[in-house]
Amino acid sequence: MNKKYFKAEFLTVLLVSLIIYLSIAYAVTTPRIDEEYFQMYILGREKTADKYYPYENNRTVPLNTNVIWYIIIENYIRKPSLVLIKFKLGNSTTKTVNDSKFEPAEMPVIQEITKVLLPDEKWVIKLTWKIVKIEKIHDLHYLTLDWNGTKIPVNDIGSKDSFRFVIELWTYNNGKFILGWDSIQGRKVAWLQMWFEVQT
Amino acid sequence: MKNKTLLIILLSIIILFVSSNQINSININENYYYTKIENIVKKLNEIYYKGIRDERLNNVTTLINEALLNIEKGKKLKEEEKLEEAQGYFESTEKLLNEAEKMTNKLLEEANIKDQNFKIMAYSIAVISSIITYFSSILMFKFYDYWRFRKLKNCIILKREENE
Repeated sequence: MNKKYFKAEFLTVLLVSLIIYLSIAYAVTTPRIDEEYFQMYILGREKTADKYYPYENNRTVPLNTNVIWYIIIENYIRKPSLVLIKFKLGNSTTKTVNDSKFEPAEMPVIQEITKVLLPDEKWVIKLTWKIVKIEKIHDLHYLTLDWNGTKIPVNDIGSKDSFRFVIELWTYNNGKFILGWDSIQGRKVAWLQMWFEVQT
Repeated sequence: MKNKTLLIILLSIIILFVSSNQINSININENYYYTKIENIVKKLNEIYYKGIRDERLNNVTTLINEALLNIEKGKKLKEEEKLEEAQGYFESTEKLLNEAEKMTNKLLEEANIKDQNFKIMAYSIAVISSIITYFSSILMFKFYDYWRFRKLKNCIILKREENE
């Protein structure tokens, strides 16, 4: 009777320890689900969070004056991703990104850059731009931009004098690029905008 | 002699035809390449989660990023209707992506073996640890029993000595 009782007790020890150790093994061999996100930010010409424009505390850009920005994108999505960065130019009258409806800004695209980012990888994009020419025809602005050494005419960007660059992050998902990214926490969007005025 | 020349001309025409067909078969639709890249990226994701996180992943992404640059250039030329030049860029994109895919498949194979071995090892350790716990609990109980019995025995001897 006594021996049987002890046998059952030891078998319980065996079962309980087996369950505990197998759970630990499962936890170790299964990847953890963390928060998934991209981080995108912009730095000035000295790679600091200031000196974005030629003049201190002033977002005016004189004609033919170089502006240097660094766009930094960090992948914390925990998986390799195909990322597309869209640079757009508009002004205060043009429609910008709608975060809740995941709609991109309705502005002319200046440049698109794609890259595959590994988890925790940091992507630094150096931008050197200047306004070469500005024209106002029938209340509409027509700019000629020097974008990383390439001259780009930007037509019809509204009537207001305050311009803005919009930088959008897109990812490739199920056969197409989407604004933002899909994660366990749902669809998220990351975008930046930088205002400036042109000194003629 | 005449026949030989004719044969050579015929052969060169066939070779020319085949090679021109090969050029034409290059896909100049960028979406085809993006889908190809997406498949490689999915495999890279699997490799990453299966424990391979070294330089070799960077080598694959370098190839893909080079291919992406070519796609951008090809796209621009296509928009400018310079199809032949665009084709050249898409051709090198195809080559780069094929190489990247080859490397990825090799890495995936290695990652699968590594993952399988890791799982086998983890679960074996779990089973062995529980067996060790089982026997050590028996041993501990036996030792505790022996120690309790000895204590009891000493008490009985002491009591007997007291009575005497």
